[in-house]
Amino acid sequence: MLCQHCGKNQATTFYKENINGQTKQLALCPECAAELTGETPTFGSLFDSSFWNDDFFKNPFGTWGNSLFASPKQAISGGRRCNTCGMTESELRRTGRAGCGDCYNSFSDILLPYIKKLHGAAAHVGTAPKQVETNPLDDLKTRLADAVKNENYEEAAKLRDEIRRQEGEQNG
Amino acid sequence: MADFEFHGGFADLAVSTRVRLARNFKGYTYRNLTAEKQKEIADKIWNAINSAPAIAKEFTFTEIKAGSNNALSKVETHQISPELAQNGGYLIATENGGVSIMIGEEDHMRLQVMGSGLCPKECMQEASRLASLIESQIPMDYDTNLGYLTACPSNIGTGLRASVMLHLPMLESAGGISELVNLSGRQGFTVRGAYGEGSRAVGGFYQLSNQITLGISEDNIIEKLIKLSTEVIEKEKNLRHRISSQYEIELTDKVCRAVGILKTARQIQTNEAIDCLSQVLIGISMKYLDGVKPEEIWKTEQRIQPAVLGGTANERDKKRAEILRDLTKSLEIII
Repeated sequence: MLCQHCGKNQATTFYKENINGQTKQLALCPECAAELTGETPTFGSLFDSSFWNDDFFKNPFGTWGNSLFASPKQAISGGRRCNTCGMTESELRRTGRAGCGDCYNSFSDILLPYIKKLHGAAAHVGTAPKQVETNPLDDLKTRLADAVKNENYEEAAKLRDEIRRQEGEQNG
Repeated sequence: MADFEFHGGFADLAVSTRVRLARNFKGYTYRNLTAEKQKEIADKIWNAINSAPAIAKEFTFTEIKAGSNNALSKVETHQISPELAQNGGYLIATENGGVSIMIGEEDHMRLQVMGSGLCPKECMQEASRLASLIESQIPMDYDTNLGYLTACPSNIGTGLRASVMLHLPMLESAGGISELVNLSGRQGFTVRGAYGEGSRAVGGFYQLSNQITLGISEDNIIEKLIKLSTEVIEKEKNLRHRISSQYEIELTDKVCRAVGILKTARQIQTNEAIDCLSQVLIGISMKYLDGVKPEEIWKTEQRIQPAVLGGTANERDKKRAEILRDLTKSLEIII
């Protein structure tokens, strides 16, 4: 059997790695085995082998995350671009990475369902940077929706008037 | 450096804790950043930190040269990511490596706080404090619905990755790791061998970290991680006591042999060294051994990694043995 790493030499060792209980096995020649697991890491092996792979910095969904993107059919069909960074749809699907913050708008139809699938949620509930100013109207609108839902029409009417007043101020 | 040293509990079973925040700044793309733009971002962060002189005096600003030995050794001590070492960039870090701010990763900024033992709360507090200092001065890529925007959708929301490295040799030999993987998976956490060469994690070191970053608050992630870690630690402890009462000779034999190797070896490879240190850690926590603190073992474990040591393989094996003999000089068998 040939080495599954270099594809040139005869494989003599089996190299196994275990991630989240899933075992991956490679048949390696002595050189590649030494390179991937041994004491003299070349630069490549340092980043490829699991020995030094510092999982902490990696995408935790690494193995299956990108496969959601990588449907060849979809990759070919992609001709759209993000106006800000020039990222194309096919590049986005191939790399699984946004090219800039605006990609989340430009490709929201692709990214939002994916995000929902990954995290099981589509809304941030953590902290916000201090400088982000939220529009007070947003808060009022949420309260209005709640009031309507709870059939609290008196409160809803008040909120509606307040929203109209503030909208008038903001526009004028 | 006392300000940036974090020590948590369970130091004999929880080796270390890391918390990382991924952040991007408005007005810059994530990919194809020119060297000038990257330097501009690094300078902005450095200026933001310097607006608080008391904090700034703890930090130094350095350039990370792609592929340099210095970069590689920082990877081995977990101070920077392999990606940063490979690409090059900038590092703003405290001298002891407890806090490192990386510029040149897939996100504009990766802010990491590390501590020994189980201390996710302390690390998170520090990370938030530094992040707010920076965020109050540089506009962030933030969306009210999606939270902090990141290059990879798997980090979006809080941009938080919190992890604890646990020493679980008994759970491993009792076949409990797959159960741990399932338990963690159900709670949105992932388990990985910390030194995962071969089919098992060398030395029984496992890393537990959150997968989910959106739809859950930072505090909630940290709380869950602490709860899960303590549950696992409890399991490992129970197993240790059970094994020590049933197989005391076998267990102490292994521990004492490891002490013998570390005290006497003239040359030793990384894996054997990590295995022996793992036995010594068990010995210390079971009170078979005394004279060395678990934190010292952990620090040594980082000092004996290849790129940290430098030199040829032979030179490294000798140097490693020397460091380990020195570490175990004061180590005593007390049973």
